[in-house]
Amino acid sequence: MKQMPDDLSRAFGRADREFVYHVQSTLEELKKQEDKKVKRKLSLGLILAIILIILATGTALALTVGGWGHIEQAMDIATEYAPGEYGAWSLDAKIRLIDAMRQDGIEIADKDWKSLHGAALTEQEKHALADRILTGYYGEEEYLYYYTIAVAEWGEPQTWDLQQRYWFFKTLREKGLYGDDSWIDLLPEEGDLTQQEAEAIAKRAVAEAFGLSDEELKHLHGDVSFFITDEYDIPRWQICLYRDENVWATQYTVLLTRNGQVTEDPQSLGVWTPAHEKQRREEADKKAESSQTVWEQNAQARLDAGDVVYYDPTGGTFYHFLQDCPLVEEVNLPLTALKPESEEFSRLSPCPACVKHDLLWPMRDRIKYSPFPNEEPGADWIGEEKALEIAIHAMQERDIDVSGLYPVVCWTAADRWNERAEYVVYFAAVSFLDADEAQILFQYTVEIDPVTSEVVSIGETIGNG
Amino acid sequence: MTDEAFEKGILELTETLYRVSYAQLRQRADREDAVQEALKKAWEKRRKLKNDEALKTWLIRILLNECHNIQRRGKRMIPAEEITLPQAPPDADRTMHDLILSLPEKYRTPAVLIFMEGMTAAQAAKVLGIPQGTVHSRVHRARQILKEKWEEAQEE
Repeated sequence: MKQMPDDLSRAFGRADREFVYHVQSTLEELKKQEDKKVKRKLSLGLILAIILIILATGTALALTVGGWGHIEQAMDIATEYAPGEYGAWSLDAKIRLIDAMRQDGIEIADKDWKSLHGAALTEQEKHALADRILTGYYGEEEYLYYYTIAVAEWGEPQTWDLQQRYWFFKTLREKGLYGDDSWIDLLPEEGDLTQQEAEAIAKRAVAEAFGLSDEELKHLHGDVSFFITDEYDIPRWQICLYRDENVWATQYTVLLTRNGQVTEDPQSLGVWTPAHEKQRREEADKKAESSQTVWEQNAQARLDAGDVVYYDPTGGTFYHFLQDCPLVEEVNLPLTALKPESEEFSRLSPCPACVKHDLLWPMRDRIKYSPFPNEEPGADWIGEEKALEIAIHAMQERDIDVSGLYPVVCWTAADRWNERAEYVVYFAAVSFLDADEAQILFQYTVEIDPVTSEVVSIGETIGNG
Repeated sequence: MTDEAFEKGILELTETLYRVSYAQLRQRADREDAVQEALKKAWEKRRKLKNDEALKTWLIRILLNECHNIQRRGKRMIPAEEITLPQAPPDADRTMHDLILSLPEKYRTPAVLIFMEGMTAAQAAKVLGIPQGTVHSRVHRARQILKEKWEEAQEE
């Protein structure tokens, strides 16, 4: 008999072209609506700051603008046609773009250019010729617009130099195509670091913190910005280091003050110093691995302990189940044994196969076998009973009657998916549909800070069926 | 997270959006509506997303909410369990397609998140707003049902 596949990802096939286009066009429409809606003017202070920066030196305007006129032309066209609407471009728009390309030194065959401007071809033929020229340079026509043109010529935005970034986004703003003022690219002034110097400082800081060799450093490249934000309008450097060609996978991010001191911003940018970041990563890894390490190290020694537990690699949770549990035979997974008197044994979760109605247990037993992380609540946490009391009170304050609902108190530690440790109290409706199984319908959740007792949020769940 | 990175992240999750909405809604038009609304809400709230790694779970949660909204509104009035299963797409595994869609929703959704989207039970619990142990038991039950029905299908 053919085995049931483990990988079910092919069950529904792949998204068809229409669906993919639907997602892309929805995003483009959202961006377009926002650009039109959010035409905030720069604050007076910001305008003054930028003017001062520009006036302080002439270098800010000494841009190599020549050669980018065709990208600017594409931006002008984008004020008429949204990205994704190339199919609707007028012939005039296409010819304007091609003219601008030619003016910037991009080679357009004389014969083709004359044909576009002459009278020999029909309009349809001219459209086809223009399409051939443009797609010849920029690829697929459907999403041909200023951004894809810039990427085709300059590479991915992570590789753009400071001038390109500054010019591109400034020009977009001037044309009303980019309403986001929260991040503004700048150009360094005389006396400031150069882009290369900033990148070198960042690489040194990362090498020192993470112990990288010169060989490893050679594979790291910088996505470098000199910028201000609306929350912090003092210029800083941000260097995102990526490996080889993987521009979208930042390995390390370094913030520098204007004069090249490594700094950190735990707020809007969420960037820590390399040393701090290394510590955070190590702590996160240790937490993720700690429970597995315990079991693996002790597995052999504990196999004779007389009891068997099931290690579930999908969730890292350990279950205690009965000797004749069907899960033992069905699932061929690593097993380890724990002595009943061991501390780890007392913190095990119930096996889902053996204990069908765990949610109907007395609260104290449910709490004892909580399926959440394998660590004790903090010493400074309020007790589980107190958490439940707070949750019930919070629901009553909102006039939600939970007296007929079943409370389940769980807790979760802070990790990469949870910003904070918290109690999560679920309220569920329970009904028995048959002898084997209860229907548990989770209806509300109350999240509580375990230290301050503050109710963090109350919500309805979506996990019902 | 920059807007470009956010957009790129969303586009990379196109297959996920497809699979999750497909598991919830039978009609194509409903799926497109749900995805459109979910993207709109995600876009509006994108600046509140502080943890880049949470984009997938965050987006799926928004999408599941929208799917449930459509189901509740009764936009397509026929209850999911009563209509015939949609024909599997040409590149789909037809047997598994029908088996998964025939699962009751409370087993189907966790199964999709774990087996198709590669989530851990902790992530699925966060998305669904149910205890992690419940995710485990529902996924286990889903696996049991799928296996029984798979074997029945093989014998036919």
